[in-house]
Amino acid sequence: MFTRSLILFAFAIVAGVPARVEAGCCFSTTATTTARLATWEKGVAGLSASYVRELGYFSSAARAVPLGAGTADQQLRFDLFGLVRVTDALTLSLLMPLSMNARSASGVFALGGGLGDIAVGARYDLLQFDHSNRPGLALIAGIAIPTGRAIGAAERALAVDATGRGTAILNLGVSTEWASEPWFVRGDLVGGIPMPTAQDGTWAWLSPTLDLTLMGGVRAHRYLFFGAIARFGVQLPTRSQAFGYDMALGGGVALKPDPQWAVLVNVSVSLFAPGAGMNRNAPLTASLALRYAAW
Amino acid sequence: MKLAYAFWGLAFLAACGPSPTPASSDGLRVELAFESGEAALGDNTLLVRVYDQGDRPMDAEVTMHLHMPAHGHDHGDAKPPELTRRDTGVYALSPVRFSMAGEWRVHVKCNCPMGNGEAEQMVMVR
Repeated sequence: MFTRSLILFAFAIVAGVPARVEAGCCFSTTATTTARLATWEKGVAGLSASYVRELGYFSSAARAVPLGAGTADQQLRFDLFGLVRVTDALTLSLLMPLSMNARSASGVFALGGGLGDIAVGARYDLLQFDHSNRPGLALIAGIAIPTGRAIGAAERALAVDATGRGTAILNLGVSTEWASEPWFVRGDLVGGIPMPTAQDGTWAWLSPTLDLTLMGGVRAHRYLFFGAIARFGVQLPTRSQAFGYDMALGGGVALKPDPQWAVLVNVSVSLFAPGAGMNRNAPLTASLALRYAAW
Repeated sequence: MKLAYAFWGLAFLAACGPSPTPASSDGLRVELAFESGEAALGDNTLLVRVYDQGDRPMDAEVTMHLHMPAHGHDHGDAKPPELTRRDTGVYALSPVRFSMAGEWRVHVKCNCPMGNGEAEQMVMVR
């Protein structure tokens, strides 16, 4: 989830031309909700390549447990991303992830992957983030379609062919942003509601989630941006899944040498310390994103 | 003998130690142990020992369920482990496949005409 946040964060800090409008543009907290277009943009296409390495996991007692010696869990992920403006206030989005997993343990190495869960989303701007000093406010909604292979259906060793959650996930949230040139901030609060699934005659219900993402950045030069992102996520307990939470921090540098093209490099890391998480994985992520805008 | 599988949607409250925790017993006592000493990511062999009320080894039908409470899924492997009888009341399940690092719940049920028993163990897979 945080990986996707960073991917869209890449788009966020590089879009647009007028500094205060472009600075906070196109943020999103999840892949299933939409990023934002600059007010003059009609559409955006993006591609991101991410490398993810699991540092370990948080136990049910909130212990940070590193992966064992000889164990590695890595992922190379590509996300194709598109945004299109329908009206001044309404934007639709599409995200198609492709991933390759590489895992090793106990002398076994396995490689596999494929198409992940395709996500579609919509964003409706109640208050347009424009040249005025008022903050922007938007409603965001989306759904992740279970086009990937769930871990329960994985067949290869170490489940390297698992690329999806195995159920549709509905996302609803709000997004707000504000800028005072050259600085900008943005906050997103998004809830995820997995649909129940039938497995072997019983119902399984993955945890509803709630993610708070805070982002901020500065325009250091006409072509250069710096940004930071912090996220806190909670998963609520269900019959099938335990309560959990985690925190992560990240930072990025964006370069926009052309009005339509932008490139961003960013890194994020889970706060891998005792008490900083529970029942969640702890990934380190590095991403390179490319964005093209049309108007 | 092939094992029957089912999903166990149990609430997950706290981590347990590496020793097995008897879930319930009605005439049988069940002990679990990994052959390598501890569970590891990937394939494992789980030893199941079944005893009657007099602590005598007892043959029984054995079924096992794996669940990962943190992520809400089961073992994630289409291939079920084989059950091999090694001695009276001693069985080996292999491969017991942990597909990712984290905490897993291993739940074993044993049934025979003398009664039934269960054992549950939380394992930390790294």
